[in-house]
Amino acid sequence: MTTALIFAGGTGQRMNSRTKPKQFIEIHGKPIIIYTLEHFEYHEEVDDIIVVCLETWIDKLKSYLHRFAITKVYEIVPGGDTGHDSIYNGLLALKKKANPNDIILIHDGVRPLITEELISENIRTVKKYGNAITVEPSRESVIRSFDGNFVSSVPTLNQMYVAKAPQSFYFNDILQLYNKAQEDGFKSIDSAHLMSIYGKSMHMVKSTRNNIKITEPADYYLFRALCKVAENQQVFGIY
Amino acid sequence: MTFALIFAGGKGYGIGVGSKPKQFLELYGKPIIIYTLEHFENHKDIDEIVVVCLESHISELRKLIDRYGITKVSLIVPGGSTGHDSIYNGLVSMKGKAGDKDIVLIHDGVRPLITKELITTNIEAVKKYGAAITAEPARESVVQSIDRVKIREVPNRNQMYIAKAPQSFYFGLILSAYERANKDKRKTIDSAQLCSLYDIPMYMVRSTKNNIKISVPEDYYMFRALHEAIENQQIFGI
Repeated sequence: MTTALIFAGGTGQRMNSRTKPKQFIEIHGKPIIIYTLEHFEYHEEVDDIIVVCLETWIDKLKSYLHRFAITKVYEIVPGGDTGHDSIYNGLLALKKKANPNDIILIHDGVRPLITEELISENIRTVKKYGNAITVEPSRESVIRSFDGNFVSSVPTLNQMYVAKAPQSFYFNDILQLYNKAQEDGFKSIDSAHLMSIYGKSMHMVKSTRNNIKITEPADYYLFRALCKVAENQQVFGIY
Repeated sequence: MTFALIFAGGKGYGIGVGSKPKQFLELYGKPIIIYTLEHFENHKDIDEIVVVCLESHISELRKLIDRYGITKVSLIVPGGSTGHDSIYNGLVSMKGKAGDKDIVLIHDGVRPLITKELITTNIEAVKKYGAAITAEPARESVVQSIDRVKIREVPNRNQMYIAKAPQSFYFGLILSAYERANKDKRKTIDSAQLCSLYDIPMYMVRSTKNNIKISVPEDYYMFRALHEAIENQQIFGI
């Protein structure tokens, strides 16, 4: 089985949208989370979906799933205090039904421009190498600074990548890792970070284009602009 | 004196628009390079602007500068075969007019959303620390891979930043760093990487928002969307 674990637990504090978490902001009448879910809904290799959702928004999400005919979501679980806790909650909920060798694609609800191709490539890579971390080569120089004031180092640009999503694993591997982190009282930024902390080998998958994460107002405008471009392409067949 | 050295030497391979380099792409009839130049033109602390331009487009740039009433451009010099060479050409051409203690802000022609505030903080930081690199905290995890296949390290995200522009220096300091690189036959991605090679201390200036670099098609759409949003703010005050 292949399951998508979608994280929709963020509160959207950076978005200026006082009433709505960012994953529920609508573009042309459809919430961002639904754009994201549709890609997994329509992918034939994805069997089911579990969503980790802000607790106060679970009912709303249920009504959206109904309205937009998303049928693969079999469970919605409440998020935790951090992204790390939310993913852990999702994995624990999965325990009830998942087999150790099931493939889990962990994805952000606010990355609606994921593609069919990227989902396929993640699944293929997990089967071949045991895991898959979606990345994109960094287009601008990366700087490391230990004190936040002065540049400590500028690593070679062609060795630097930006981690995107999905980040995909065999269920047993990723659950064990989160269990271990739980024991150690450690919280990670994302699963790739957690893997790195525990010295696990990770295989990269090149992201398809425009796999943006909508966290700031500018991202919303970009998403809207890209939607428009994609729609125009249907007509003109360009780009 | 404070100089802006604007790099407009790229050929625009990233954007599939045939013959036009990306810095000359137009938004609402105005080329991107002009949007960029206007920020320096209108900043009271900038005395002169030097532009490093694709040789084949120098005469076009001259016409545009004239048409849009840009008066501070004192020199346009041809670019080199890499970004590194282009900046070096620009710095060498400034030798006659800039002194060691003059300040130079090196900026990309394809970063039109620079702000007045960011120019000001760059100048202040150079006066205080000698070298200022505009940077933004990484919003997504950064990973390192040596073999392009496996991840070697995921450094702690709160130590990771993305370098933007301007990158600003005392003229003497940055010229001698590029001259040294020239002697050592080393080419760098940007001045921050160069200074890092030679252990020159650099202060990080926090970028203002949306300081995007237009290098692939979606960047152009983003610029258009942001430009529209910024104009709308004038009306709604949001």
